Amino acid sequence: MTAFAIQTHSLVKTYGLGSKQIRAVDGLSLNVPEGSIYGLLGRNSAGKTTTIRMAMGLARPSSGEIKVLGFNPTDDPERVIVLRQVGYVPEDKMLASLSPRKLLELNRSFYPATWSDDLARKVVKRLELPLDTPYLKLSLGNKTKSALAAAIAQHSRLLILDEPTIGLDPVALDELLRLLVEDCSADGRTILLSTHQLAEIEQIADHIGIMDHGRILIEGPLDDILSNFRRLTFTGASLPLTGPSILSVKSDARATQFILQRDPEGFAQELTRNGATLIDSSPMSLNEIFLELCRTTESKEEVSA
Amino acid sequence: MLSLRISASSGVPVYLQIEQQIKQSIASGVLCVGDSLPSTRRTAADLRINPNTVARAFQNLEREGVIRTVPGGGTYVANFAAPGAGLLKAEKIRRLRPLASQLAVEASQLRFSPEDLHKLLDAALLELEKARRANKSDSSSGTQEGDR
Amino acid sequence: MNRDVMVQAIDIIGALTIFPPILFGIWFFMRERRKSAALTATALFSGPEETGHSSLFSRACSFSFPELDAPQRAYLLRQRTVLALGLISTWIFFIWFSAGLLPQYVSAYAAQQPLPLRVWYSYLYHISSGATSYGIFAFLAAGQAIVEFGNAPWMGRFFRTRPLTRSFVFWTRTGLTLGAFISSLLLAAAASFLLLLLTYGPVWKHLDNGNEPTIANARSQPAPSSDDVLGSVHSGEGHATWALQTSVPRLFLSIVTTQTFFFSLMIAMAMLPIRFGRMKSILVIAFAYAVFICYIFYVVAGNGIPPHLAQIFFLYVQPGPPPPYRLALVPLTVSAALLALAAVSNRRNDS
Repeated sequence: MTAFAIQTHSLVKTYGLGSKQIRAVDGLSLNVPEGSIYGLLGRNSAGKTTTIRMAMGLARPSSGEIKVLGFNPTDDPERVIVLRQVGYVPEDKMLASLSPRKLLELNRSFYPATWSDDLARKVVKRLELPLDTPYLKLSLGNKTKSALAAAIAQHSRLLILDEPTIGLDPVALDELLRLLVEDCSADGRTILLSTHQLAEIEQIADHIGIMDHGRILIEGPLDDILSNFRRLTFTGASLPLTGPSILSVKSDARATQFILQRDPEGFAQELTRNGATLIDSSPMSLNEIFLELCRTTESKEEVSA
Repeated sequence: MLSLRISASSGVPVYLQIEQQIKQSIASGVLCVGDSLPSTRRTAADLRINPNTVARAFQNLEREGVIRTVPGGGTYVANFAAPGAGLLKAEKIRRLRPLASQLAVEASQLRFSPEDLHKLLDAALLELEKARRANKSDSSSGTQEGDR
Repeated sequence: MNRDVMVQAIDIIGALTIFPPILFGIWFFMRERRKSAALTATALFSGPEETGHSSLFSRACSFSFPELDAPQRAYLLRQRTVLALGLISTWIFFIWFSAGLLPQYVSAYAAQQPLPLRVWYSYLYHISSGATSYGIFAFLAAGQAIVEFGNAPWMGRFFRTRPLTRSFVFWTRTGLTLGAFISSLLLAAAASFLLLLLTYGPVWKHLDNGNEPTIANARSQPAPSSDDVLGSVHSGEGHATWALQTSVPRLFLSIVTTQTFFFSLMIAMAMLPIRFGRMKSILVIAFAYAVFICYIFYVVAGNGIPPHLAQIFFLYVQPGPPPPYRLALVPLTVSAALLALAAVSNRRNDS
């Protein structure tokens, strides 16, 4: 039985009252396996940050269950057990109003069991973080680097990074990826990355979850998802327009393009058996999969609205 | 010296790209029998990709007999005493057929004659052989460059 | 002789007003210069943790609270700033409390009365007239506490995501801030009283120039105005003298209880389950202001506070007879309840 670093079950979080109520998270069932690098993807108000805040005990779930490293992060004393083992970089990078050096020195005293001075120095050097700039004079990129250094040097069992690439130039971004792979994912450590940067996720993640409107659209090992999705173009008469494995269909006079989300080979075989001709079969990048899924969800919502 | 270039969104799975490029390096003589490969984690860090992906590629290569891992640590290019011994001919054909079809499609698109196509293939094999011999003579004359 | 005494008072107060900030400024400047010279060269974590002054504090902490774990100790260490602010407010309150001893104030009251009486009265009056201003300090102290709670951005959110229980953060921060605030009030009070002793001597013994003070039943009588008091002493009515003599404890105690109440009220309001933002800040400030206005209205505009109200709130801003001290528990209990409410909100709210 695989252990999960983070697991939620029908998690719901609502804000506001009555007719103006917002369901930021709406029945979320998330499963982040321990030891993985998990990419949490989604559009801007999909509910990623709200979910992460609930995992850190910053927000209280309206209903449903959430467990981090096997414990409930919402109330003390389990909350403290969770926080001892988690490193966190928040979305707005307003972590503490201290210069990077002071932040590192302060944070160090909270994690005596796992903190690594060498790792702290390594991150500072690789990301070229200016240690003594006062907080108000830090650029957004440097604020991000400062928060990253403090969290990574904790060397904790779970690292939660909410939009860690904001303000980072390509060099810093590259160095961050290298650090994450080299130091933060060894020995069964888990990394949860919430981001829009699909290219980076495609490189370093081994599991992904795509969220939209407070719910998971699809979740699982990245390789499996990439091989399950395929773009198939057929010609022929009486081609099916719907099916369990079809995500979307586009057709013109000459050909019909199917986006498959499951078992593309089986589908292709079945259609060729029924007389259709396969013209083209191409894989889809994560970006394309993401766009297709979000578009389909949107049009489904429009239809039902 | 082994240098891999990976593109995550090219449509070809990353582990496959790694396998292909390592085989390419061996075929062209950049990597010789007995050369050591960097560890899984080192390779993953250098390429900024997930270590499991690299592990999968290395496992596949080891199953095919292209590389071998020593229990104490370290990965080395395997000895091709019986080249391709781990692979049956049917498997080899299965691998090469899609490439052949693609070449056929492109060639017919460009109205390239079959004879010219054969000449092209021979030239490519010749290039590969030349590169391998050049690398071997370099190493035997002692002007080895880069580190292993 | 009077002249000399007054000059003495000016000298001492003047010296205590001017020199501490200058000395502090010099010390601070030197320290900052030394620190920045060291910083530019140091690598991370290479030097010893910090200078001796803080290690003393940390040793004191680990001695008094051995069962704390590392994060809790780290959090306690950070509260050094609260103590520093406490020192500064002690100094400020001391200046305020002692200002009544300055010659220009002493001579302002009833010039024909004997000096001890004038000094004593000036001293008391000055303390109580500052009643409206102490509230501002209570407000500031509450603000200082709130800055690190879970709802606040920056440091609040930082500590909310470290392995510390929410209760620990709340009670440590609130307790230390309130403790420092009250201590600074009490210390300043004691110091100003000491100053009175040093410069003018035990004036309260000589208020009526030899008349016997009588213990009066003061409960049924309204608090007298200043002229009444001075006039009745002069005319020999003993109970007024007794009232004056015993005013000090009740005034100071009243200040402590009232400001504690304001402090707790601020904190309870800040912990209301409304998102921290402009709207909330405006609400909190507006409500506090309204309460404050009522307070000022009673104190300044009317002839003092009606006695039953004064007893309920333990709100004594004028010299008078000793009140039933156990009623001081009323505002203290209310304050404790407000703080407990705030603690519960702190635990349940989102950050």
